Amino acid sequence: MSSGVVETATLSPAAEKLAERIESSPVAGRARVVDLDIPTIEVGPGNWVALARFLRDDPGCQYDLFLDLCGVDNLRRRGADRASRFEAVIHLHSLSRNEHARVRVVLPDDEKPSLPSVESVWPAADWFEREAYDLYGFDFPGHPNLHRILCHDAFVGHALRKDYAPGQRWFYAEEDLRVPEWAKDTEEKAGNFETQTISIGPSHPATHGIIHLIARLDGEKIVRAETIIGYLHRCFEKMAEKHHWNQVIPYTDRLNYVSAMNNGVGYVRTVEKMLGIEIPDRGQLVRTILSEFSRIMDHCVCIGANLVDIGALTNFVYLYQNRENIYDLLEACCGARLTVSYVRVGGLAIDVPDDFVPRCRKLLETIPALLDDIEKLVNNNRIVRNRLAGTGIVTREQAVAWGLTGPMLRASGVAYDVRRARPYDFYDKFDWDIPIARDGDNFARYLVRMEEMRQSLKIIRQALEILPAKGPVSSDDWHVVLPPKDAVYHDMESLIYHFKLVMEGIRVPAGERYEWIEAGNGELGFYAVSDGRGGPYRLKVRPPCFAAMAAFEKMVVGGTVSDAVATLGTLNVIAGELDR
Amino acid sequence: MALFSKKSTLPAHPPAGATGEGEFLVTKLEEMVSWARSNSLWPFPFATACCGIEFMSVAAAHYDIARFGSEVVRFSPRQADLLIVAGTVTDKMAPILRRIYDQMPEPKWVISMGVCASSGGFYRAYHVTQGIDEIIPVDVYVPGCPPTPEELIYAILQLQKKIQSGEKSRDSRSARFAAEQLP
Amino acid sequence: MSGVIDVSGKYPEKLTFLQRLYIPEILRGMSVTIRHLIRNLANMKGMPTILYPEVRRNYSGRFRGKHILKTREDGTLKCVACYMCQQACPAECITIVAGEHPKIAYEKYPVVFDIDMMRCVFCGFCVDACPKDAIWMTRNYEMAFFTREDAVYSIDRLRESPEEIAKHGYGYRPYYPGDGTTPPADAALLPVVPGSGEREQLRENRVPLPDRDPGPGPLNAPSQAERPFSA
Repeated sequence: MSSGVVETATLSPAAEKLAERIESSPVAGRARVVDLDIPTIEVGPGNWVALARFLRDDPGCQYDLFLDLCGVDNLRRRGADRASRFEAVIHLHSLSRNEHARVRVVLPDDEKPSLPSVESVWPAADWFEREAYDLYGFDFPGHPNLHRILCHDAFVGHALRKDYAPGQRWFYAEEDLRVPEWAKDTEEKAGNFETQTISIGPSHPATHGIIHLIARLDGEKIVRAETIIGYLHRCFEKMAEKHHWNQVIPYTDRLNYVSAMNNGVGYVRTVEKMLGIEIPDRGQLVRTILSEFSRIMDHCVCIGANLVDIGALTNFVYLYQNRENIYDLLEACCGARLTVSYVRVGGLAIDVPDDFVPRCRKLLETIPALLDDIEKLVNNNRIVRNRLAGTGIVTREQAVAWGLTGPMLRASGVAYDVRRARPYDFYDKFDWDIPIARDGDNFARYLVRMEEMRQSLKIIRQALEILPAKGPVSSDDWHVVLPPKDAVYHDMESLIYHFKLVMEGIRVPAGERYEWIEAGNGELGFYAVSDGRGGPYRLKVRPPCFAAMAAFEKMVVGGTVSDAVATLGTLNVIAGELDR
Repeated sequence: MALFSKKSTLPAHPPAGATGEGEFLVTKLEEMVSWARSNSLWPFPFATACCGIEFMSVAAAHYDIARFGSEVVRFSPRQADLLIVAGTVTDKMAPILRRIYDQMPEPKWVISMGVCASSGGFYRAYHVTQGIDEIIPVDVYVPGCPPTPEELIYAILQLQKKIQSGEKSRDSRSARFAAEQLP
Repeated sequence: MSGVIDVSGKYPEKLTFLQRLYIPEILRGMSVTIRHLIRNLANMKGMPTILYPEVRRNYSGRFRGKHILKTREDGTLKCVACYMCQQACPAECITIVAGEHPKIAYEKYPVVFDIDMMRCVFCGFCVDACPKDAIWMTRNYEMAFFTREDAVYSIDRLRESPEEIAKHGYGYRPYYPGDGTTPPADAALLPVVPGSGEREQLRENRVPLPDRDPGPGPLNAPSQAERPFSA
């Protein structure tokens, strides 16, 4: 994919424009633009910070939203020879120009790979760089707090390197927890008053089980906070490297487990784009309908749990009734309620049942009734308004600087929704609105989510109109999709395709791709690297709630503990996606 | 490192009836107590992952665990007697699980919900505990990923049978260990 | 902007007098909850609660529950120990040991077929992968164990039994009656054609088999690391 010298004539318009801007930058001549699925800039570590600042500030670039930083280890990569073992891959987005860009920083030193930290340019890069340090061992000079984030503190080695055995575990005891420096003295005197440092979580009803907040309290007010995550780090990316492309799908279900279908759709879209296959319209529409139902489920859990945390228990039960009704539909389609594993690369596992459309229409009637009940109970309620309105405020500039996407970004006034910005799966054919709010507080996020659920119902209604009554839901390319069963039973060639796909996996051509969708929490991206064999060589998930969680410790400072609890509920942190 | 230190010894209870050349009153009393305990299990949901969502479904209106006596879901281990470990337990979370288990007062039971808690599930990985019985004794294992709410209720019914048969919250492995290690 | 709704407009910061009074809100909220209560009391059968174990939820015919091994008409397992389900399983929970079946039409059969229910994630990939219609799933979810060893199901517990199907029903399977597919022919009904005796001759005379190129091989085999990739 990347040859020696790139001629300007072969670049796409977007890449060419980027190349022109780079020419007038401080790093002209030392950075190279390559045309892959999105324009990619290749640069060395010495020029990275200057390039980063230019990309953010230059009016022709304006890449203000930091999306992702990940590492790639080329030790076992077949195919084209790489310049060095390690590289760092960064994805950026420009809100004003609606464009993505990728930067590849080639790290020449194999023993001590290091590149300067860009946390001063994009604060969102903070946790992503910590993750790259944890899983790859990259050093980021200039980073304020470079410690392990996902693996536990007694972990030895860097887990995603190719020479690290997937099953090698290390023993961890409670004493091994790294307590931040500022939290070591638990009591501090200031005049006549004392501040206390306590640990909220990780087993705490309000922290949804797996988030650890170390907070210094002055009475009820939080003076300083730091979050510790990684309590559900289940090594998704390492497992993906060990399995075939289709076998990763059950793992993707367990990322954002409250809306399992969305993760699956995002992942298989990446693989399908790498293969260059199209799936039939009926398959795309079924994916859209079920993704929107999954989005409704996601918001139901978020709002329900959030309201339970502030004491409004009835809504939880009503919102769970919504979920149970949608579970009925999902279970009729694919056999499982929660972890559906319904998508496959190239389409769906099986076709929808015959009563799919009547079931969906029934849901379109029952869901709005329960949503109306919630609004009657909550929206004008003085207690809810006092708890949620005016707390956890995130301004527009903060939201962009912290790399937030999804309802969190939209509640701060930025109308960025991947379904509108880069439509996929028929979203541009439907008439629907993006809800935004101006205040950026918890109540705004709650309102945005409620409205998003209603917009999802609108989309589903329109999708059901144009859904073809019959037709295939999967591509008919037998190099990718399993042939139909009775062909396998009776026909030799189908059996051979079936055998090759099951035993060896799908042969995806070597290359890399970043594809992103709008999941319940925001932009869910999958960066996949293939080197030609049956499974991913590297698979990185860009989790939307990772950036939100990183921002959390900044959001709670100055508020009380109860405000922190309310704020955490609106972030919709799903640990499966946060820690992977 | 010894997992069962002197501080958290597990007394070995012989099953009811083993010593009993029974006074009728005592065994009847034990039966009543077991019946009462089994029908008022207060769960502590140690919910980490997807099984936690299915547990919330069991607690919600559709399945309603309150029908089995678990009206209140206790978030403090000191007030609970049933620890339901729902979801993957990673190596980072394991000491916290042990601490929660230690903080629960006797008698206590453990249900390991889902394959991730029971055996690590399909995460044969560098950060996942391959089964919580590496750290705490488990009474009932529930397969499924996640188990359907009926499966969890079936497991609670099995646990009720186990409690009513007299086994006081110890599984056979830890009972054997305690019998060997304690003076 | 077209296509964008601003939702915060309806809810100004300052609460109205009635909202601050709070009593009207309580009454409105209670009207919602009491409406639910009355609706449930009036129509007890329509309550959403499923009174398990007396009442069972009617799961669909595609439910992914406990697996069963299908049998032919003469009672032998349809499974020919081809290892496709073992390979397809993301959890590596299936263990198969193959054996040679004396009947040449069947050729192989599983001597050992274990599914570790404590590892299985009930994804259904084994059912998708099977080329012989040999493994299905049922609607049976009632499994709970007191020990982990008890959770490894072998052929005796996995073999299809009429009682289990009568109680729970079939679930996720490779084809559904009436969907236009033709199931595989039952090998039990084929006439048994005795071979020409080559197999026995080879065994007795110890004739070595011709040397064959091992071929591409499975994912990540050590021999592949050194070979240049060719599509």
